[in-house]
Amino acid sequence: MGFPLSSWDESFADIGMFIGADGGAGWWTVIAVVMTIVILVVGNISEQEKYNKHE
Amino acid sequence: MEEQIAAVIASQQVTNTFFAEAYYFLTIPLMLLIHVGFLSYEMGATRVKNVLSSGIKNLLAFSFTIVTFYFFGWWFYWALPTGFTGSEGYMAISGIAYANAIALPWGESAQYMGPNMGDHASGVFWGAFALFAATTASIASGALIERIQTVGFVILAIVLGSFAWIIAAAWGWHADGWLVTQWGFHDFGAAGCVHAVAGFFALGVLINLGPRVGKFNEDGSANHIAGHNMMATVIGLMLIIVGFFGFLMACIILPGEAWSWYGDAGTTIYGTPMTLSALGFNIVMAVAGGIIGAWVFTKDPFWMMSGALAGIISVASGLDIYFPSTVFIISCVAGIIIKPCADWLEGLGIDDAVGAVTIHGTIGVFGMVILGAVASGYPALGAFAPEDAATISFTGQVVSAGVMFLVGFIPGYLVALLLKSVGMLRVPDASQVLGLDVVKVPAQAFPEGMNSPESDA
Repeated sequence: MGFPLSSWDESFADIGMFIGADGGAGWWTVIAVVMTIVILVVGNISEQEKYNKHE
Repeated sequence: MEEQIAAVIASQQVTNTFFAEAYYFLTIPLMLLIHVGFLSYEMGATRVKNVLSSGIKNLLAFSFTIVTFYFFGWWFYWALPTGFTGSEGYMAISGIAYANAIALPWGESAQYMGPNMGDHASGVFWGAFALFAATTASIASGALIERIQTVGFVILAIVLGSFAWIIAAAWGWHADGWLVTQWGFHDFGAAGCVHAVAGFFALGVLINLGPRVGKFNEDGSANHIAGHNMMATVIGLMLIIVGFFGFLMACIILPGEAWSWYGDAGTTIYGTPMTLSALGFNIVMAVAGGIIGAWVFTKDPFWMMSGALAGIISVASGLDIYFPSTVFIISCVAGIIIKPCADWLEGLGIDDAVGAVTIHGTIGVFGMVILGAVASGYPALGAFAPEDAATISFTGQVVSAGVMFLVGFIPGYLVALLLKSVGMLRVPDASQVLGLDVVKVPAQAFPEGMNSPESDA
């Protein structure tokens, strides 16, 4: 977290300037992947309940 | 003086870089029109009782494909061109090590997967490819409407959009792809890796999914299930055509950048010579040819606009080298044959609701093979290619078309079979009869009263 560069001038080199560029980017991706999977699982449970209600 | 010349050259390079960045960036919203089209097309082709459910399915296919393409789909494109070994190819822009360095959203390669002032290319290329991926998933979507479960479909869309098609693209739509280097495969506009893969993926799913309730009679004869809004469907198809201009212009590699094949000439993705002007001739000729061809037998606006799409797909492989009159002939034939091909498939008991297997799968194969027949001997790669690189040939196109079929059909069939075994593929018949919107959508498409007659089910 925090500003990963010493100044904005450094950002004009071929280097990431995003939040997490100093090593935290992978954790954002992990959280995003877990969120995606959980949303699909919860979505499927909800969908099956709806079908079961109308069987 | 030298300093002034250097300053002018540097300024020109900045202009070129920003032009290239803007060029690919603008293909992304243009390609989004494909999805506007698919949304309108599929919702129009659906009965009133399932309209919103079809829309939801379409929106989720787009969204989950984009997200998963970021997580892992992009990596496959760069990692596997030479095959599942993941070795580096002749051009040194492929292989697992290369993909690990530029296409993973974590670790060191994350610098090329997010904001970076030194990289004006990765984001726009990724964005264009992500839209290609979403398009592929949406192509399969239409065939499955009105009886596939939402989450089950999303899983299929992820497999197709972030795995199957991008494997095909790595093999046949990449200068290091083994189908290109060993078989001379040429597929400028992705008739194979996008259309054929998506069409035959859909076929694999359809075999497991089964038809909509009421589609077939006991004697095997088929009933026509009309959508509720032909205008939405036809306008949607026209929007897909508009979006395809963006899709196809994104297939050109611009000159003058570090990643360009040449400093002063545009090329295909294979590094062979290419102009945007070629697309100006050939896309519109293909649209016109497809419409005219479909009109011959059908006189039906749905099939005429499907013919336009089939027209583009039939010549997509060679849009860079076809003569416009040739384009008209091929696209017109494609338009003529789509309805008989779709009827033949229906006769086998396959309920492809919008003809996606035929328009994208069958016509995709037709286009790849026809190019092999008329373009044999053309170099498959640019001037930088190794001396023993294969040229375009009929055999190479046929073999590659077969590979595209398998890369689409096998994952579609197997994943659908798996989903079927765990009860996540087909909507229960009782819910189909009632209507999917009533069962699972907390909103109404036509709240002031417009209902499907019971006979629809």
